[in-house]
Amino acid sequence: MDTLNIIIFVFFLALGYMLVTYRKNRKSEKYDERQAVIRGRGYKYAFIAIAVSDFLLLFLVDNLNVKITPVFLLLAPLLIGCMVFTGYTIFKGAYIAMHEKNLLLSSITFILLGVCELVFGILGLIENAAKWDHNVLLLLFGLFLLLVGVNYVYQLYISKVRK
Amino acid sequence: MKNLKMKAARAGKDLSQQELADIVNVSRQTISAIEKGDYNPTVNLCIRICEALDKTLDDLFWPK
Repeated sequence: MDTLNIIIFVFFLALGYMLVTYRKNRKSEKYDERQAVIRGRGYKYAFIAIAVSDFLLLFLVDNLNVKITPVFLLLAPLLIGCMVFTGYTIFKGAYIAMHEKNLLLSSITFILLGVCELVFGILGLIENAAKWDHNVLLLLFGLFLLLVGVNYVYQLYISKVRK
Repeated sequence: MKNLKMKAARAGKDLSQQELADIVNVSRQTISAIEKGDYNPTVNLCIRICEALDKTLDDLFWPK
């Protein structure tokens, strides 16, 4: 299966799961005022990260003549932006909405998907190092999903400890 | 600046951070940030916290 097809498949799987749980949790999911401010700042930093990565990739392609596929050029900055947003909001405690349910199921889903993506990426790099850009994309995507899943687990642990 | 008055008022009512957060409809981390002095709440949130702890705005949020 082609790398891009794997990413698209996993993306639609995650999207389908989020759509199914969204309707159930819509009424209860809400961010408080502090979380809204932090998420606004997170979007700003993610935008800056996307702009910087785009500039860096442009510099690599134009000035250093590094051969990078269009898929990598398109997806890598977006994934970096997502990771910056996710990392910042997790660090500031604004990623998970108030009264968000099914944290355990969400954490298992994200961790499993993240591990799958990482395994595909690592195996791809071992099999064919020449196609590094596709496999690095898989690694980035897997890291992002793992980051989210581990955060859910951490929040579950913290809420148990503080009970 | 830490808000020790709010922390004392919460302890006086025997409420955990999570319980107070549920009453005023914010996250536990927001209550923690307010008590540590890392976040300045809006006036509306201050009022809701005062109502939950049976205190006035001066009691909890006016700096001495």
